[in-house]
Amino acid sequence: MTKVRVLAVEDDAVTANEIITELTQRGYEVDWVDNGRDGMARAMEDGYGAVTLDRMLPGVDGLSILTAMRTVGIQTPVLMLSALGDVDERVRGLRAGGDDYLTKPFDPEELAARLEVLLRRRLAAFASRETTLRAGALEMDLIAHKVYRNGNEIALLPTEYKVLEFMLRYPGKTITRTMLFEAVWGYHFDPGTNLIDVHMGRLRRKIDQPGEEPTIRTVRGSGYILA
Amino acid sequence: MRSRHIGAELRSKSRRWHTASVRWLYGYTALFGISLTLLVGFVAWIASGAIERATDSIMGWQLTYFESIPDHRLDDAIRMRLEHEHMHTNYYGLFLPNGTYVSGDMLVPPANLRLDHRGYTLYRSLSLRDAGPAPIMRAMGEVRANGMHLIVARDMTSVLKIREVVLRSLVFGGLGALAVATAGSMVLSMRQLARAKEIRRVTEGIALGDLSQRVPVGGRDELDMLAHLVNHMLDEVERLMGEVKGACDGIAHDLRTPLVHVHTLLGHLGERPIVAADPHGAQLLECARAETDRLLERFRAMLRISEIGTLKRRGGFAIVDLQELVQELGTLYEPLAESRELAWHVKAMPVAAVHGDRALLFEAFSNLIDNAIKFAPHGGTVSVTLAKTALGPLLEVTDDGRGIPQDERAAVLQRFYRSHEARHTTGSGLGLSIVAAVMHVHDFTLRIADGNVQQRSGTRMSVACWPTTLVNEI
Repeated sequence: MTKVRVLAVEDDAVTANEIITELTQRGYEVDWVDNGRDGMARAMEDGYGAVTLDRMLPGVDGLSILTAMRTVGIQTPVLMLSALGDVDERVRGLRAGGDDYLTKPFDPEELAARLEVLLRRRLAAFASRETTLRAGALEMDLIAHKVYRNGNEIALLPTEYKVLEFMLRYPGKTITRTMLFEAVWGYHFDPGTNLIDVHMGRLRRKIDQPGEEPTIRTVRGSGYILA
Repeated sequence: MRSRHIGAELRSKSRRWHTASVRWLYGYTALFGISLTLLVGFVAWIASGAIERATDSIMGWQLTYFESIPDHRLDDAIRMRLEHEHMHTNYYGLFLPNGTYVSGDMLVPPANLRLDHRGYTLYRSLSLRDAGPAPIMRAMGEVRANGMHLIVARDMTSVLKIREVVLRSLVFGGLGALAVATAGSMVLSMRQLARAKEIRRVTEGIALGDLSQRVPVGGRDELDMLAHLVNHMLDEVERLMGEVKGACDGIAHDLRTPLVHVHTLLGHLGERPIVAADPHGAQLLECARAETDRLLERFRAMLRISEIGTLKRRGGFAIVDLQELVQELGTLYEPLAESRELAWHVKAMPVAAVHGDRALLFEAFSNLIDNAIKFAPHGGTVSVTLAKTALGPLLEVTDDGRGIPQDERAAVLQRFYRSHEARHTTGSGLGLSIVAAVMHVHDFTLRIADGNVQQRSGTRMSVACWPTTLVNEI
């Protein structure tokens, strides 16, 4: 299996090094450019699985690169990185065609987790319309909005359903609490670890039988993973 | 508070009549009126005095002339004079000492006239033969050697006319001056008020965080001098705030970056087989990671507050349905309340839509609820109520914890303040500061009270969701 290539456009060497280390460790091939002009040229080449794009760059700024990419029809997933955590900035980045937005400084694990979700999302889009999601004995009917375990229906509340759906869409990927909160509730602030944990706790009690291997595991210090 | 005051005062119509220019103009008009009245009055007084003196002198001469006429011819002399004087400016009367009419066109001697050869002014008290009581007369009388009373009188209607003219000119002139003053002050005050309104608009913008605005300067009057001063002050404030904010953000950012690195490194360290093999070491590492997490959370909150503070009011503002928002918060926090075995009551009434930033309000309210859940005792009660009031929607978050002492209520809204009790619980100490920042952006009010008024325990956080300090003009 060929490695997925990721383009990192980042002018800060320390941050770039972190990105490269983290992603290389996870089996990606990372190309790094440190200015907007080269970034623009490379981004126009196809063949990258994803791009991490700094908002502020010498030469051409990140937003222009993104706009140019989307204008010529390159749909490579883009993760915007910026020191500007402003809501307006986030909205502008996403509106220009960014797929996700991360404020600097960030935990490289968070970056990796988000990038993996972006890559997976792209693959899922290719794999036509899925109507059922499966994990072990668990089955989710996306049309009827129903969840079954070994054929028996499990009644879930709308929020629990959304959490489970998000986890099922990205099996084997670490999902951080912030990602989950953003995806399920749609808010961009830190609600505190406990809040998401109790929601997850409820969901687990419903989908897992006592004594069985848990469907969703906690990744210490970062988030959850659906095995 | 202050700006609301100014706003309300400027908006009231009556305010137009209280500007300095109006007061000055009215003051001047009154002063001018008084001096004009005095002047004209003085002129009238001098003029009537002169007329009286002239009349007296004429009458004096007439009496002197009659004195030279012997008593038995006096009657004829009077009659002759009356016949000669067609214009009837002079009147004569000759009476016996007991007041019986003898001759002349004066039928009854005037009641209070002293016969001392001096002139007196009589008002409507002189009965004449061929006319009714004369309006105003100057009369002079004397007792002749034979005891008869001789009275000479002259019509003084001209004095009345002078008075009439003076009075009329004063009234009409006064009214005219008043009209001119009113119109002038209207124009002047409207001009000043228009400028004050413009200044108010600008200062409101500044109060809302847009420090780039400046008070308009148009000329060289007092208002412009003031505007110059204010603008200069604003330049300084903007520069200083920029410096402080830059320093704060810089520090937070600079400290955050190495902290994130430490956090990551600790994570990598934990993955080393040698550490993983040592359970005690792994636990210590996990603690260190949790501590850096906590530090990072504080930095995040700090930057978040500064970010909310600089948000432009209109930016993410839209119509927000609070009922739906509170219900959403209810389902979000219900599991957390349940995990602490709390009685959880959420009651959201339909309320009027408010103008606000939905995400920020959600964040602020979630901080309030999070606090309530944190501080309620195990097995206690937390209730979230959204109610409709006459002024607007009112959100209340109540817990039955230990409450916040009266003297700490203002302090808890400050950054990093944590009450004595709260020092042992987790949290950044910035939650309520975030709430305060969001309230400030929305111009809403947050009040802290006892959760249970009778027992003076617990905490009730009320958010009045209507603008309180600034006029909400679109």
